Amino acid sequence: MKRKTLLTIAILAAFVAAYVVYSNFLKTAPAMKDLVAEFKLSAVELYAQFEADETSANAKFQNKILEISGEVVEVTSEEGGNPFISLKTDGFGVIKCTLESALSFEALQKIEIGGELTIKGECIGMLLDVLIERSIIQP
Amino acid sequence: MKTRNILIGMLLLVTFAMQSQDRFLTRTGHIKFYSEAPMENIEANNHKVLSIVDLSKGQVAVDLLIKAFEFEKKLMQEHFNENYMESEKFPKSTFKGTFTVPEALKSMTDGSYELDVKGDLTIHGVTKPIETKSTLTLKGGKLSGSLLFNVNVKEFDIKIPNVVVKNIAETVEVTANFDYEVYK
Repeated sequence: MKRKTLLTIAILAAFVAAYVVYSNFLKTAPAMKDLVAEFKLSAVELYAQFEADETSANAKFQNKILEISGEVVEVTSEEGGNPFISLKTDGFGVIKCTLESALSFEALQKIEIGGELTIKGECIGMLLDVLIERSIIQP
Repeated sequence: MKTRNILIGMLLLVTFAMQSQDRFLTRTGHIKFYSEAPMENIEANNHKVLSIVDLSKGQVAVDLLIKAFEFEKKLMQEHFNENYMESEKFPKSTFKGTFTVPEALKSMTDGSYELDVKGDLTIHGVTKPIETKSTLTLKGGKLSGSLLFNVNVKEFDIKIPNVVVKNIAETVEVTANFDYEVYK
């Protein structure tokens, strides 16, 4: 009986330990499709806010999930990195969205320059362009 | 940002007034870092680096966002941002440097120029002076630059826990490559 209790405790302890290790060291952030956007706005509007006041725009948008719609001006894929889609703004820079995962060549070819697109991703800040990471294309 | 616009405006005026092409810019600069440790080698790439070079003043500026570094393993990228670089607190890293412009480069003669660059490097909210060699290459009016330097993570107050000491190098090698365009 005693042995059984000890065994149960040991098994429970092992589960707890495994969970702690998993949640602290092995779990990755949820995929973008499972996250809810805190702000939905146009690329033009987002850039305008950064252009008007970068500090307050950073406070509002940095590290937040955004859903941005706008006109595609460029689709690029870099060696050693995920492809990115640039959305048009009225300012000096663009909204540059790096995709969460690599798309197939066909999927990239399908994105029309000049077409409208809605992209969900995490805003990481501005360097002339406003950068959006882990982006996915919204259906 | 307003001041930046005014600055850009002023620069445009100056550029037009001088009728020269001595300011170059790239927003797709590439910076890679490489960490070599007994347990594993880690590499990360950032293809969204902003850099401006002014050949009349001998100045260079580099700006990047830490979260734009891409790792092969997602988990590594998360640890890098959350545990080591604290990128929510310190989103940007910058370098501002100066160099002596060779006469041949001033007169826009094609060639490869090795320069000594001195400047301030800011990582993880800590600014340190650094000196490094950089190569600027001018070919057919196109300017490209490359530089390599080592960063000691401790100097920038980046804490590496003992458990992963064998996985992350104390000194990380940083290489940068920029293909500039004329800034007009």
